Amino acid sequence: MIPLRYNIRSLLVRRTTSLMTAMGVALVVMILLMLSGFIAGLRQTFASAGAGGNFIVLARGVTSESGSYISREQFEVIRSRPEIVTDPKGEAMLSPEFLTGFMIEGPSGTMNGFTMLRGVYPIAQRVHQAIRIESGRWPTRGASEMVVGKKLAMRAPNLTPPHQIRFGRRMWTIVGVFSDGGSARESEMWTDLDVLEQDTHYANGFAALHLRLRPGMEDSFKRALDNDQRLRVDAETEAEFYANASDFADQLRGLGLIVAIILGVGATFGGINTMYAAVARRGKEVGVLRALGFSRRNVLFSFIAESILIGLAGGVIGLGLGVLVATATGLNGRLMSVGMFIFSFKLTAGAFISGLIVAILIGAIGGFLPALRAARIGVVDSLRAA
Amino acid sequence: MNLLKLIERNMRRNLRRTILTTITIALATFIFTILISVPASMDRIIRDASGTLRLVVNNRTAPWYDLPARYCNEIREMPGCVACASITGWPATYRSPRDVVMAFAVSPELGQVFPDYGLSRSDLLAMAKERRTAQVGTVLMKKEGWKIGDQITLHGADAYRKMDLQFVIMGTIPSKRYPNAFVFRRDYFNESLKAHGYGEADIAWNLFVRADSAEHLAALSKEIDDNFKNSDYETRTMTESDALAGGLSEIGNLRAIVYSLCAVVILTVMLVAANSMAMTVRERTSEVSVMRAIGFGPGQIANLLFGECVLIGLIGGALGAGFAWWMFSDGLTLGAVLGGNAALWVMPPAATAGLIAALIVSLASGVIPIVGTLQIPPALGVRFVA
Repeated sequence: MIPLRYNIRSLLVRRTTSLMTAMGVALVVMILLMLSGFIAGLRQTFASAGAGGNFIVLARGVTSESGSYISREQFEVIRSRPEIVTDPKGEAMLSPEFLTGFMIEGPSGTMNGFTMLRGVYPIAQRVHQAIRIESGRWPTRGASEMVVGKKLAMRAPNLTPPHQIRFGRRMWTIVGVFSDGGSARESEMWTDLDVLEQDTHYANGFAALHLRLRPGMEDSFKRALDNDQRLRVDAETEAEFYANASDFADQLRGLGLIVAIILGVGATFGGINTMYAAVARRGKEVGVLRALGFSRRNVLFSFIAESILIGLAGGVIGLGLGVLVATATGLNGRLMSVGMFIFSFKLTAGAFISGLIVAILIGAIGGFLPALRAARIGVVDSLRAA
Repeated sequence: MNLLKLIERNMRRNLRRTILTTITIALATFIFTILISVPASMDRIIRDASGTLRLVVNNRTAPWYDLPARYCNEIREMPGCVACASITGWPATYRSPRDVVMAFAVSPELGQVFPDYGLSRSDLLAMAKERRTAQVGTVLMKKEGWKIGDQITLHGADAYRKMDLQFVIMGTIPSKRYPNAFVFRRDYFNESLKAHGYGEADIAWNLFVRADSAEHLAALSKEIDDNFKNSDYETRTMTESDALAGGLSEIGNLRAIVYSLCAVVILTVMLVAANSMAMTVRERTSEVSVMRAIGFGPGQIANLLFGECVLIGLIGGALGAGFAWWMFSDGLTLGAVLGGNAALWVMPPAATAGLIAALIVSLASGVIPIVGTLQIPPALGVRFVA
C-alpha cells in the first residue's frame, strides 16, 4: 500500500487547485447542512406534537383537522366507548376540538399574519398531557378570551397578554401563554370552543376529537368505530397524523435536494478534471512507484484515496462554513415560520455525518476514472517519456 | 478569423475537460435560470392581476371564511360595478385520493367578470344550456387526459360536502394564466348539495367584482365594505393584485432564500470553471511563451485564452438556459399555494439573465490564471515544466 503521506504531499504541491476543488465540494455540503437544519427543525415540531401517544379521530377520508367534521351525535357515541381512559370520576379523556385560521388585524386595519385558532373545552388541558400554562391563566368559559402558544408569543409580541385582538366581530383579550413541549400546537392560539363557534357559524359539531386510549385497546377501538353504522370516522395516533402533515417538509426537502444533487454533479466534474490533470502530470511518478514494486491495485487505491482526501477536506470546510453562516445570520436557534408552522433551525448529528458521507462520495466518484487511468500506466513507457 | 480556428483547436486538445466544464456550467445555468424565475414569476402574477379591474370580496375574519352569495345582488346596484360573480371552491378527487382537482362553482356572470379566461361566446352559451358543464384549463386537461365532450365524475374531499358529481367537459379555457382551472355552474352545485342533505345556504368562498374603470376601484371597494359593516358577515374588499401580493408574502422570505441559493450556485460553478481554466493555462505556459517569443502580443494571447472561456460559457449557458426555458415556458404548477394556477414561468428575460451569468462566470474564472501566465517572462516560461 502506498502511504497516504505521498498523497497529502502531492495535494500540497498543487495547493490552489486542491483547495479550489475542495471548496466546490464544501459549498455542496454547506447547502445540504443548511437544508437538513430546516427539515430537522420542522420535523421535530411535528414529532413532539404526536409524542404524547394520543389518538385523533377525524371524519373518514379527511387528512386535515380543518377539512373534518364530527357531529355532536357522533361525539356522544364515541364518548361512551370503554376503550377511552377515564378519570376517577368517570369522565372520558376525550377532547372535542375545532380548528380554524384567521388573519390578525394590525393597528391600521392591515392584515398582519395568519394564525391558527383552536377552540377547546377545559378537558383539553388533561388530554394533552404536555400542555402547561406558562404565565397568566386559561380563558374563562364563555368569555372572549384567548391564550397564546409559547412559540407564537415569542414571534408576535402583539399577541402576548394583556393585548387585545380583533377576531370575528369582537375584541378578544389575551390572558395567558401556554407551552406544549415545543410542539406544533405552540404555534396556535386557544380559546373556549362554545365562544368560538358563535363567531364561525359552525355550530353543532366539531372538527376533530383528541383522546387517550387504555393501553392495548387500539385495535378494539378502531374496530368499534368501523362497525358502528352511525359513525363515519377514522382514528389514528397523533404521531401518524402529524407525520402526514409534515408532507410539506418532504416537498421542501425534495426541492432542496434537486439543487444540491445538480451542484454535487458539478462538484464531481470538478474533481474529475482535477484528478485527470494530476494523473497526467504524475505519469512518471506512477512509473517509478510501479518499478518499486507497487501493484496496479495499489496505484488505483492511492489515487482514489487522494480524491477522497480532497472531498473530505471539502466536507469539513463545508460543515464549518454551514455552522458559520448559520451563526452569523442568527439562523441558529431563531424561530422562523413556513406558512403557519413556527419552528427553529436545528443542526443534528445526523446532518453532519451525512454531509461528510456525501463529501467522501463525491471524492470517490470523482477519483475513480482518473485512478483507473493511472493504474493502466505502463512502467517502461512512462519512465521513457520526456 | 484565424483566432476562432485556433480557439476551436485548443478546446479540442483536452476534449474531456472542455466537455465536463461546459456541462457543469450548463447545469448551474439551468438551476440559476429556474431560481431567478421564482421572484420574476411572483411579480408577473401580481402585475397581470393589476390590469383586470377586479375586486376580491372576502370575509373580514379571513379569506377562507364564507360569505353569502346574495351579497352580489346588492353589489351589482352600486355605482361603478359591471358585474359580480360568486365563487365557491370544491376540493375533489378524480382517479385516486391523491389526484386532487380543485373545482370552482361559479355564478353565470363568469364571462363578464373573467373576460381574461378567453371563453368564447359559444363556450358561454354551452355553459348556459348544459347544467353539468365544466370548463377546464389546458394543463389540467392534458394531465387528466380529458377531451371535449367527455363525461367525468369527481368525488368531494371535504367531510361536509362529500358527494359525487358528474360533469361534461364542454370547453377549454384558452388563457395561459389559468392552466389548472376547473369551473362549473353554481346552481348545479347548490342543487347537488341540497340533494345530498348538506343544507341550502347559498354560501360562497368569495365574490369577484368587476369595475367599469380603474378610477372607480377604490370607491367601489370602500362602498362594499361600508355597506356590509355590522352585518352578520363583514367583508374585506381588495383589488385582485393586493390580494395576491398578500397571499404571496405568506410564503415567507422566499426571495432572500432564492437569491442566496443563486449566489451559492454561481460560486460553486465559478470554482469548478476557474480550476479547469487554471489547469488549461498552466499546461500551456511554455507554449504561450513560445508564441510571445515569436511575436504574439499579450493582447492577442489574452484574446485567444479568454475566447476559449467565452465559448465554453456561451455553449454551457445556452444549453442550461435553453433547456430551462424549453421545460418551463408553459408554467410549472406550484400546487395549493396559488390555488393551482401557474406559479413559475421561465421567461426570455430570465433565460437571458442565465446566459449572461454563465458568460460572466466563465470570463471571470479565467482572469486570474490568464493574467498570471502573461506575467511570466517568455524566457522563463519556455523552461517551465507543467
